[in-house]
Amino acid sequence: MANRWVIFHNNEIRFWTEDEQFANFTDVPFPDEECDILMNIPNFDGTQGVRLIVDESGNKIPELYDYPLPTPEMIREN
Amino acid sequence: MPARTTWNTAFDIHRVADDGSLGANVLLAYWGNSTTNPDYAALSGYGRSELVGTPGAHQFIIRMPIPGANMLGTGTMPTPYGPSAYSEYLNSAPLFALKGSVDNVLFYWGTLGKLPTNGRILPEIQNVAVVTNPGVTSDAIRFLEFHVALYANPNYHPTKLGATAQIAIRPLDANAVAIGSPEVVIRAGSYQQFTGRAKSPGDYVLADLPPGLRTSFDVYKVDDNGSLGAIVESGSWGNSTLDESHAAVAVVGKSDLVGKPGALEFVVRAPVPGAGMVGTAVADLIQTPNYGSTINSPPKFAFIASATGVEFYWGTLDRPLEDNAQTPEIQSLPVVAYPGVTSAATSIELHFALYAQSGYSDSLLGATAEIAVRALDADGVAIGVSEVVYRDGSYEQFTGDEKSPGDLVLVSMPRTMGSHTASHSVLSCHTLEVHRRLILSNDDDASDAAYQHVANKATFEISDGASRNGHSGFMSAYHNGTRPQVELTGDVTFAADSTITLPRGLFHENANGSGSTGLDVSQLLSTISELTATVNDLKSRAPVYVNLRWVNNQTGIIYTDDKIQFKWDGSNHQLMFLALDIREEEILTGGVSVWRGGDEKRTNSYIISGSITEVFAYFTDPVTSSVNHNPEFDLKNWFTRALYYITPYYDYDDDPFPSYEITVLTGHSNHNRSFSIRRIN
Repeated sequence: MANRWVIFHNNEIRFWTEDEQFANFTDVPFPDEECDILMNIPNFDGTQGVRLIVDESGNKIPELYDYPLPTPEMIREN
Repeated sequence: MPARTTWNTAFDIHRVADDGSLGANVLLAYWGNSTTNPDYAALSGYGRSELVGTPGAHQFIIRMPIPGANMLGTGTMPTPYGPSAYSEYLNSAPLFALKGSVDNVLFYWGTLGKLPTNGRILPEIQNVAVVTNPGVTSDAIRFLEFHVALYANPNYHPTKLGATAQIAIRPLDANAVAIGSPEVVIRAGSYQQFTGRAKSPGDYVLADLPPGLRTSFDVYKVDDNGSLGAIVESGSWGNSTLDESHAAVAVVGKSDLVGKPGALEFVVRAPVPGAGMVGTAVADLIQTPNYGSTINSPPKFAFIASATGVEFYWGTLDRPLEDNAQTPEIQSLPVVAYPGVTSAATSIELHFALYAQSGYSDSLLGATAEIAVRALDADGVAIGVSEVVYRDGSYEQFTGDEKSPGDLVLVSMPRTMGSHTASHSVLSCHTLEVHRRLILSNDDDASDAAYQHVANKATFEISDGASRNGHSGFMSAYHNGTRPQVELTGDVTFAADSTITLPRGLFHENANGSGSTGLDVSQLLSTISELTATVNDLKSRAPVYVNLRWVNNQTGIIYTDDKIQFKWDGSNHQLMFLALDIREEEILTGGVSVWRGGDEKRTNSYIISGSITEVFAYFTDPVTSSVNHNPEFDLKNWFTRALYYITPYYDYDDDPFPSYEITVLTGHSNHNRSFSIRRIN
């Protein structure tokens, strides 16, 4: 299975890639200090959301979550 | 005392008494020893031989020391054959020489009674291979004992007493204890050749060979250069049970009639009755098929003579001729008198070369024998040579040694084999030659077309394996009186990777005789070529569409061809491109239009020069020294449509860069993007 990198900005997923040449912060318009990159997060298949949770020791733990279904209100607000 | 360089070994020749004991001393004889190393001179005087000699025979024993380890004879005669070696190493008295290897010792003896001229090619030099026996190493052998018993050979020569020698060679160790199992062989020659004393016919009355003798001979492999190579094994022939005085003898040396490189070959010589060619050894056993009780498993020879020729028989009868076994276990060969050749022939030589004959039997090694027969007169001069013929059979049938498939590897016959056919013939052809031919024809060349249609016909039949009658014609080849024809019946299947060479055309003769209609292959190929060019032209101009879906926040290459790559920037949600193959002076122009809600936002410009490569660029701003990202065109909203395009500015005719138009559709911003990429060449 291909490697899969996830690039975070402020602990929220910014994008992900399976192409190592793009597994960097070049396309992220923010300072590198605000970004993180993790490879092969368990159970992440690219369709979910993922964020980093900081535990008591300061470690950043990835947490998967599903995107909410769009509501008519959300569509109207667009 | 000066060292002697030439030794003669004296020995007594005794007649074997009627009770089998050593009888009276008949003659004192001499053997010349090796001139190259007198240390290995022969010794004599060992009494009655327990290996050879029956009442009436002349017998003697001599013993030769051999060098021991590896059996490398210092008395080796370097060139045992060939005229140049005779004068140096051999003279009228018998000499012995050894030629050793790790496998055997070749024991040579002989005289030079006659020069090898005028076609006289009698094997005056003879040899026997002493093969190491199981459990007997070559290091252990220190002596070879040479046991000789001489019997009558009435047809040898008008002025020289002929003798058929029964010979056994026994290896002995350093304590003169016999080791190994000697084999008795038969050699024919002059009496002088075995004793060193010239005798004329009538000087001695020699007894006939005792019954039941078999003729041993060596089977050689023919070397790559066509010369006689290593001994493969020794074979044996049973002789006629009716007249043992006409026992066959082995002939030493390379056959000059048969035997190509890789073949196994041997030559045996059989006396025939001489004047009138009325065979005293005529055997009633040859009245096929009633030969059941007279020929058994080892090959036997027999001949039947008449005023016009001699027919020579050999064969085995391992299996009864039942169950449709059509193998001719007994085979024959006529030796016809030749123009100018009278019945003066007193012996005939059979020259055999054995090649592979696959499929003979599951349990017996098959062989195809290439055979030639040469008739010799009383002086040993060739007076006629038969044509070369071929016989198939078991290996045992020709050599007397039963072999299973795999015991020996026989080469295929390196020649084109022909065969006279009857109404039906089964041919098996093995060849190493590059050009292989199988010719089936009849000899009758009648000009009538209708006759040729039938007579000049050969059919290949395929068996269903069920029975002998389960054949069906598959391919027939014949001549219709005008040209050769081939008919195929059934399906034709071509193996993978096979090719077929097309004829000029595929035609069908019209029923009314008005010529033919069909397809000319060259016209067909020309049409296909024109159509292919048209299709390729259309293909080059037609736009090419690629449609795909892609996860919104995944960065990666979504499209690649020979000119360009498109990358989806999952971070900013914009399309990017990378020109892969572009002229340096070319410029790419392009832009993007985004529909979002009720708004439309557009931009376009020249966006990159061909001098700038190896960088992914956005469609929104020119790329100079850096790549600019315009966040106003990020496709992060719901239900948007974007239309990107890129096209060359100069559009060089000789090397155009394609134009591309890419539509990107978005429903939910967190879900997939739909792409439709159109390439215009």
